[in-house]
Amino acid sequence: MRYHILYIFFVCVSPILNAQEIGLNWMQSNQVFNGRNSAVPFPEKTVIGLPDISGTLFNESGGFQNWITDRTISLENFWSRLQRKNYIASVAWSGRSFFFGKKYKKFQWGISHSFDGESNFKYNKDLVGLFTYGNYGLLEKEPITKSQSLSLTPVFNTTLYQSIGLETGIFINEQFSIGAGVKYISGFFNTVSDIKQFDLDIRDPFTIKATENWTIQSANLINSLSFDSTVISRSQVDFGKHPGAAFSFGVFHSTGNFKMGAQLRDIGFIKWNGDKYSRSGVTTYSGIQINDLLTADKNIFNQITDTLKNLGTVKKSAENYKTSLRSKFIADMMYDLNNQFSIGASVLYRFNYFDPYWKIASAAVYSPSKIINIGGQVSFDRYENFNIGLFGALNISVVRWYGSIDHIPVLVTPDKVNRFSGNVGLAIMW
Amino acid sequence: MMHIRHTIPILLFFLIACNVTDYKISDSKAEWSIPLLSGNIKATNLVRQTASDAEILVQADGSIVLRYPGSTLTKTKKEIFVPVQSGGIPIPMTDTLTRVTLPVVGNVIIKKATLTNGNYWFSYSHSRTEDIKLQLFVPQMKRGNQILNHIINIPYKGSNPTFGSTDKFSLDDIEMIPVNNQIDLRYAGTNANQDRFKINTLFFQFDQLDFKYMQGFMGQNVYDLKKDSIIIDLYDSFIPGALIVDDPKVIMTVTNSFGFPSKALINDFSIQTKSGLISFKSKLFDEGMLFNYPVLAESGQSKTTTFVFDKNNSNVRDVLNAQAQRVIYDIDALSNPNLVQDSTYFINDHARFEVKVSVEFPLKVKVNQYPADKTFEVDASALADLREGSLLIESANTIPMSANAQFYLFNSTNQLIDSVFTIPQLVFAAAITNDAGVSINAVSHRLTIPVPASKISTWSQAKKFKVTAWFNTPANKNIVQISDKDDMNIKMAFVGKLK
Repeated sequence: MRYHILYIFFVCVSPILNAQEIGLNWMQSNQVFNGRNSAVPFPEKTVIGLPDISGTLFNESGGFQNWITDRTISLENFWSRLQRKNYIASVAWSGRSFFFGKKYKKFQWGISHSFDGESNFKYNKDLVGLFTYGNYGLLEKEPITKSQSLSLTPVFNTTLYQSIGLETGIFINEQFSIGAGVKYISGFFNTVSDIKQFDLDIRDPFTIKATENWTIQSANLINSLSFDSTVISRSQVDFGKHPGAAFSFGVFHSTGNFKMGAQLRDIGFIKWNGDKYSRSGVTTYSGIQINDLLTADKNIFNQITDTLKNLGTVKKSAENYKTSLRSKFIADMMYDLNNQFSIGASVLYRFNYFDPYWKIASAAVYSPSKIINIGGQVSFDRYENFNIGLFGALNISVVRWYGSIDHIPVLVTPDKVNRFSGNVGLAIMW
Repeated sequence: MMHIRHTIPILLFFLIACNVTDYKISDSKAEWSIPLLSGNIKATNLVRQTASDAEILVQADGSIVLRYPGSTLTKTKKEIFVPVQSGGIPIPMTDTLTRVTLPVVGNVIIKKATLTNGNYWFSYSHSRTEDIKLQLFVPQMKRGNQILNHIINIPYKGSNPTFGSTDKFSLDDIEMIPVNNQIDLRYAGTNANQDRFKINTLFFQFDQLDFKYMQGFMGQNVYDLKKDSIIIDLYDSFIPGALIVDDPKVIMTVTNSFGFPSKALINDFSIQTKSGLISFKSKLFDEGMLFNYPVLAESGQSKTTTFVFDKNNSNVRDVLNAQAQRVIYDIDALSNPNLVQDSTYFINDHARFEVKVSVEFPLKVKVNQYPADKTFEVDASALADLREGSLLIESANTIPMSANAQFYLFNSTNQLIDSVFTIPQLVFAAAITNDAGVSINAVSHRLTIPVPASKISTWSQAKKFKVTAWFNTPANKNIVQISDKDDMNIKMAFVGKLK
């Protein structure tokens, strides 16, 4: 069952995920997509943005092909290629439900509604090994487990919110424009962990010892948290119960064949009315005590469960807390070689949950006709990976369909491709 | 090319969204260990469960003795020498000297006694028409150093006869020195002219005659102590011959503060076993069991006599190891058994016999297939979450006993649905012992009980789980000693795969 969850998570979800990256920026003069620089003038006077979904799937530990041997997805393979360090896995996505924009001579404005979510998870080889081989099996697979405790220290967070945004662009002159946007945010759910210590001693198969010091803040997601049962509950959330705000700024400069822009997005926060769960201390579990067993007057399995419950009590208290949005900066430039070909360069810097992420990219766009734009992108990122991306758009009458994939794990350093992102969207403009 | 072969299908997945039918997930290889049970079982706890009625005594060398104490049987001076009640009958003083025999029972000749708890008085009647004076005295009774002496003035009131009685006088602390259990009551009647005369009627009266100290000759008397018994539960769980205690003992302790010799009269001493009543025999019975007693100079002290019946002087080893359930005894005390005639013994107010019998089992034993079982309520449906694996039981034992065990599973209608082993398996091994049978080194043992996938379904129906164990001391040892430091660390865990 655990494998199925992972499988669905990583495989089925990823095709619709799209980069909150830069693949579409090469077409921002022609397309109105979610996350576009608000300073860039709309291609047409009236824009109706239809659903637009983008997302990123990231697994630092290496190419996803590491999981697969002979058409079998295997955690053993995954574990065997991990080093003894921390890895990050992330999923982020954004979905625009609608956008409406109008452009005038000196300015433009737009209003939008969107959903945003992300999950981040930091893990290490021992955590994967424990999951893969179990605490007993890992003793045989990983010699170090026989001599020391495992420092698991998993860190995770997840959040989902919706926002209503208003943006405007002001055309200073024919070459230069500035833009800004503001969003009112209403959070759906959030969970943030602060795991200072989670060591597990599995050396003795008859005793499990955990040294813990952690807190988890959660709003509208974890209903209860204990050793034997964690209840995930996403009940109806009142709009505004978890409020927040975000801001964005952009500049754009265009001189004939050369275009240049920059934007700073998603500077904001969300206030959550939630709970805090925490545990601290050393817990040793060796089963029920034999003297308790000999005097047991109830089901011994229940007695074991009760023992675990008593040992695994998690402290819960109400907690109001604030999380920051993952803001990002994108700067790009494009040069039109002729009517059909353009080239460009871009840089992305994103304040991710664990570590900032950056990427530099160059691209070429080919527009054989007015109804089609296609292009390719080569990028190099923080993880020293080269990536190939593709993007394109169909412009049929007033309908604009666009999409992009930023990381194609085939042509360049395929063993290191650990990131997938893409975007697909639709808009009508005239 | 391996990476191309692998990555292209992944890319296709992403492009065609969830067409995953060509790929499968590898079976989990995760093997989990789930601790189920741990703890330390002390030998003393095992003994306590086996013999819950017994006291556990730890000796200086760490050896354990089980003691079954009997009730303390007592006989006090107040029970043996009950105060003599007068019954309201006055003693007539028919002459100026009246010799009275004391109402003493029990072959006792009082040479000296200190009285207590009583009163005496005189009543009179005469027909003289004058004031008279009456002097009453008892030469064998003293208060302090003064002979008991009362002078009573009886005025004439103008009518005859003149009668009345004196005040009541306390007998407390009056020392009485009778001769052959007799005292003299004397009086003298005089008038104002000092003429002597006899009184028509004069009586000596007392309410009860009691003493707090008495000295004299004690004849032979039998003092009855109650019949009693001691329940032994040590052998309850054993089949005949499964437990042999090397040197059990019956111990009788007599504490005596009566100042005269006495000995035990054994009316009954027998052992109720599972197969019937067996007489307890000892050469001590034949030799006579004399109780120590304080001599005159030791008045107020108690003397203790202990009789130990062991395998050397009795048949106690045989009768107790024959599955003893109850030790029955009926013991009396016989005073002055040798009937020493010119003896002077004593009794004081606090004198008493105390007889206490106990049965002791020093745990130097041989155990052969001692069965013990325990049934646990379970809802084994939780086993359905298991795929396959093993139960591991690991022990480190310093008790010089091993145990083989079998595990039985019963369904909701109490029907046996399976047993874990074909034949009972060794669960823990006996500790290594020295020549004296004392544990010197722990022995570790690990038992692996397979939980095969084919059994999971059957076992998950279990509602009761019964463990039957058979304990044994090492076959090459005649006797081993169970000590208070002996214990066993035991741990149990499930190791295997989960569904």
